[in-house]
Amino acid sequence: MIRPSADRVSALPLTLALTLATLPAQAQTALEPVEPPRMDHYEGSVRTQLAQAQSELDGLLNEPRPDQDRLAEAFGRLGQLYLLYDFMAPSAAALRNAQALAPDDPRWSYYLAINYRYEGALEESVAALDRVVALVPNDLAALTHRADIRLELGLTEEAEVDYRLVLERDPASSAARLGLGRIDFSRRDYESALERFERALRGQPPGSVVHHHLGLTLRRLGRREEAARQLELNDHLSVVFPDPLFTELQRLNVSREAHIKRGSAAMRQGNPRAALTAFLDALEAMPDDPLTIFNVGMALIELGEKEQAEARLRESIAINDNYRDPQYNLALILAERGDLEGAERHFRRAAEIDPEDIEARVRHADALTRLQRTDEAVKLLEGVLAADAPSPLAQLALGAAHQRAGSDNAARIALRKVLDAAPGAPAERAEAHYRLAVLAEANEAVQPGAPANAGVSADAATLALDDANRPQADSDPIEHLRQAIELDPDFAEAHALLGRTLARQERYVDGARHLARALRHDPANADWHRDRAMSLILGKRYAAARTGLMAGRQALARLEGDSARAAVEHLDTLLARLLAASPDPSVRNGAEALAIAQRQMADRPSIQHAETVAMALAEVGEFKRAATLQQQALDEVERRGGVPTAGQRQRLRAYLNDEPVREPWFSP
Amino acid sequence: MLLPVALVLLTNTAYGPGPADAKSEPVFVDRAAELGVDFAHFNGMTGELYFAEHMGSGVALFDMDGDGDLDLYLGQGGPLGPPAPGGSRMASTRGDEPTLGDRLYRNDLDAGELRFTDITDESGLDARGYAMGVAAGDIDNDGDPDLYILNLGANELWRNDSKPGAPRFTNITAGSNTADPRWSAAASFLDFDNDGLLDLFVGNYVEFRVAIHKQCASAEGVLDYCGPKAYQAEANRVLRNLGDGVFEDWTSRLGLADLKRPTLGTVASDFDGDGFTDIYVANDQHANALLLNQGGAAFIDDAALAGAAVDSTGQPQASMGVLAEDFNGDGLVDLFMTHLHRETNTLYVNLGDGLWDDATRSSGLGRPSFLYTGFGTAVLDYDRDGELDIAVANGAVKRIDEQYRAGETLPLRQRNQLFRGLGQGRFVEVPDFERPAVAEVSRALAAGDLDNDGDRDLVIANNNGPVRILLNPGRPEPRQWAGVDLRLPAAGTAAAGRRALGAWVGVLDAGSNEPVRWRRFHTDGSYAAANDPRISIVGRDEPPEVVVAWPDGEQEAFRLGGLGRYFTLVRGQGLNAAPPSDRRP
Repeated sequence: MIRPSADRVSALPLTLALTLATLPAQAQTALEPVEPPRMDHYEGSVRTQLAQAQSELDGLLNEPRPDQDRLAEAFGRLGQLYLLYDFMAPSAAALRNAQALAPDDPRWSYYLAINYRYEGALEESVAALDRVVALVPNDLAALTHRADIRLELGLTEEAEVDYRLVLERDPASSAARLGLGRIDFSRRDYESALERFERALRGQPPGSVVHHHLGLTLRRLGRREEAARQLELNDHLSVVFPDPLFTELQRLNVSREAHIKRGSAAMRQGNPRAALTAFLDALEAMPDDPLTIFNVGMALIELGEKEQAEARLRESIAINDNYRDPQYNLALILAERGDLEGAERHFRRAAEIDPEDIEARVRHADALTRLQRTDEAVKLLEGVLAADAPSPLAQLALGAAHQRAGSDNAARIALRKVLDAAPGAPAERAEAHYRLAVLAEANEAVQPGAPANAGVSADAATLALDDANRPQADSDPIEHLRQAIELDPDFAEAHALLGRTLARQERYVDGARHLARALRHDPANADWHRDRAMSLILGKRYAAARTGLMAGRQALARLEGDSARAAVEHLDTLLARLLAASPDPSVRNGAEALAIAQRQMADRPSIQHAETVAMALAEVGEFKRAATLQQQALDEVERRGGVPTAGQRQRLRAYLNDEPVREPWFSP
Repeated sequence: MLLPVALVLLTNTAYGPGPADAKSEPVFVDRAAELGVDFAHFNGMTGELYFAEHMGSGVALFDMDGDGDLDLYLGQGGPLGPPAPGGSRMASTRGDEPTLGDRLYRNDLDAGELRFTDITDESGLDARGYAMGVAAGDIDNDGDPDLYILNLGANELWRNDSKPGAPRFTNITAGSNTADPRWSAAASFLDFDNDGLLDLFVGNYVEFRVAIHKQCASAEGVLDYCGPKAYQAEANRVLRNLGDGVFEDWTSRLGLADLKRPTLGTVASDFDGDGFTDIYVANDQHANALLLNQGGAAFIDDAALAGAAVDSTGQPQASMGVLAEDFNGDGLVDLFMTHLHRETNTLYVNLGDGLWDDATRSSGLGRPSFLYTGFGTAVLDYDRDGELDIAVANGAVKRIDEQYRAGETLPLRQRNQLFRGLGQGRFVEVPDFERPAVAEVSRALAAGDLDNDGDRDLVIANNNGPVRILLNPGRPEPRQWAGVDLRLPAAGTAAAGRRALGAWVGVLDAGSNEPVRWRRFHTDGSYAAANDPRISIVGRDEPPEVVVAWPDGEQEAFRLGGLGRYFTLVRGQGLNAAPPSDRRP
């Protein structure tokens, strides 16, 4: 409920009455009392702003002979603010006073026109705009507003005059063209309307509402298909025009809501920096508001400032831990940075707050799965599924939990249920296909008639029977992966696994293509670079392998940390060996291979690096040094208790015979 | 520079003659208390301003027990969530929260006097969800209307097993697959596949739950109710009646699963004349939908192409209640819907050939509605001049400053409105039509002839306030009216079966034998309400002849058997099998 108290800004009517006698006769008759609104529940920033405006007016009214211009300005400012905050009656009274005191100032008539329009007093609004236009004949905003209102009143001829005036002064005005087009439409002159709408849209493509008018006009012209296409493009964005006074009015808004709206719009437009500024302004207006703090956190997430975002979300939760969204998003951050226990705690809280939020419950289960608490995860998910049987998200998570627990049969049953459900949920179906491919790859599919795992006996028996009738493709990982990709063409892991699987089947080029697709989504994945390079080498696409390895090194070099360094080292070894031993002479570059290999050897001496240096030495013709180094590598293998491989001995024999190696595809 | 949205929204307005043109008219009189209806809605508000609490609740007028008079069903609210910090739950208006629950009142008109008796307990109708609306339709073809109660939470399907003098309802929700758990506000019963069973179209609103309640503020930062865009819109649902009280969800199969807009009003009618019932869906701040039935196999939204999705400026409006009638008497079905403060109520006039035109400005319905938020709406001919009139139940959804300043706990009160039809699709507001003159937070509005005197009365469900039963004090001369109730034959017999919802009745001109006015036979429309489907024809001094366009498009003529009462017209028992006219709505 909304309960005001008796807190008011001031008692204006009394002071006004005392002052009226000091004003010129014309103003005396026009001034009227302004009844201020109650302010007690309004937020501080708005209350302060209104109180200041009121105080300035009171100060002037208490002067023996107030300056008429300053008084007009004070009434006008108060009227503006009341208009801005939707107090129409006091706004109109204050603006009428301002207009009476400063009849040559077009601003007050303009704001009065807006006020009247808000109140549905269209004739009064037109009269106020008449005054503006009389004072400033070239005020295009006033003319456009007047034309729009006249059109609403059905005064099409008068509206047309105004629109034409606007167009004469601003030939680019889409608003005027739109208005004239609507007039043509009302007169059933559809060809002319069509032309005007098309020009209006060309002048202002974001004004998507014009598509509506275009569509209806085309429909009237019998061009139904074109009409349908146009109508689909209407996402209700209005045609706008320069309106300085209205913009100025909006700038006065200091309410939290205005900041929040600005911030939300900026977020929608993909501008988190502007959103953050707006949300921080809102926070200044209401410092302890947990949802505003949450909004700040969300803008920080979009900016990639996860640590600051985490702090803001924690701050929001500390003030009120009963809001789901801060809990949920904090959990997401924690899960992403590997704090699974923290994530589990906050997902749990989000699900407690909103038990119907299936996504929170499923993510809670997912966190439990990742914490190896699979029994709890399975129990939780079974609860979700009992209440919301069709949830493919929960079914998928159940499959993942079983998979993590090593219960592959149960995992397959759960995953198949995702696929067997009604069409829809493409992301979940793609993921299910992917997981089934992983299971198939691991060759752990239940064979028909195989004994079922405990706890899933009935379903497993069904599965076994189903298996007998299912096409071969069901246990074919490639088919699953292809379906996953069909459902989600950007599914990088599916592309990568498909690439590897194809490579294992010696379909190297196809495999490399899918690995390239995967790398588009994660260019810094060292394993995928390595696998792609190996696929290309084995597919005899040496030049492509070299290009890919160099791109991979470049992508990984930007990263920091030990794992990134190890990944670069790995790719360097492959590159050096390719440059030293490629069967394609255009790819070979012994000097470059030697430089890479020697740098690696200097950085971190190893048998592997020694062999690569030997290979590069052979390529530049230094067979003796190559043979010596290869021998030392083999000795080191034996010293460590190992047995040199046939390949290693074969390479030694080659160097001793002054022959380079032409087999770069052995894996480092 | 951009013109701010708030100002742009104003371009929705389209105005015509205002109330100054209106003549003084007889008023409707609230007689709820003296008729024995002491019901008051309790919205459970705590100060948290939960979105749902100011939106309910529903009302149904239906002949529960087949005794020929309209009984009354009223939806109730209840506690929603914990109170705001420092606040406390407002006391129940009834003062006895444990008795909260929807109420059923029997009309005892057949005993000689219009009077209602609360028979909730003896009827077995124990519905205690947070009610938002109600729909009435005969799902089992036994001739009596069953009730589908729309809740914030699981909906309820109650089968009517009543007999005269023995009210009895059975909750068959479990197993019926109708317990849609979302916030539902409107529903239409229709036979979309022409299989003889009434199916259900359920209009769902937004994904609001107390757990995901948001705080929204007004322009000046005062806590206020949120709008629909603060929450995800829900998809509507089509439930196909399989018989035996079981429904199957056909939403996806019919291509509607992805159409997610916040729905508050629905009307079912064969808008394109192909013999299959279509649905018009009124959505809050989103484009409305005209779902054209593709032979029972799919629905396609044609509203944008038809010119009935958004207003004349191309902007969606906050549509709530909706009516489908031939308002301008040209034989084509028009659409009227109620809207938010600073929008106008809107009249889309049917131009034929699948096209509608926003005729709000010329209709006179726009300007008087600009400062009101309309919800329920009803069509009637209160002054018996043969022209359709429109009633609108108003109540704001955002704080009204004057009431807030006065310390009111729910400062959303507005007066209701009545518009008199002038003919040719033009209307004028009737001032002070309601007595006593009140301004309340009105929501559902159902229309029906409570006293069987040939004119429609109004029942208005107020949010967190008492129900109003507004009787039309005018009393037509018995010799000057006759009414119709349309029935399909019961299976395998020629006897009257279920009502033919979705049919149209055309009153034939005595001279030309052409229909002079088509009326829709329905219970749906308005907001959150189920209406009396019966249609009365006034101004005749001899039994009129009518043509009925049945829901599948077949037409049949009837001559009524007298004046001063309602006549049941059963399909196949008319004057002839051939259509008397090629005109149809």
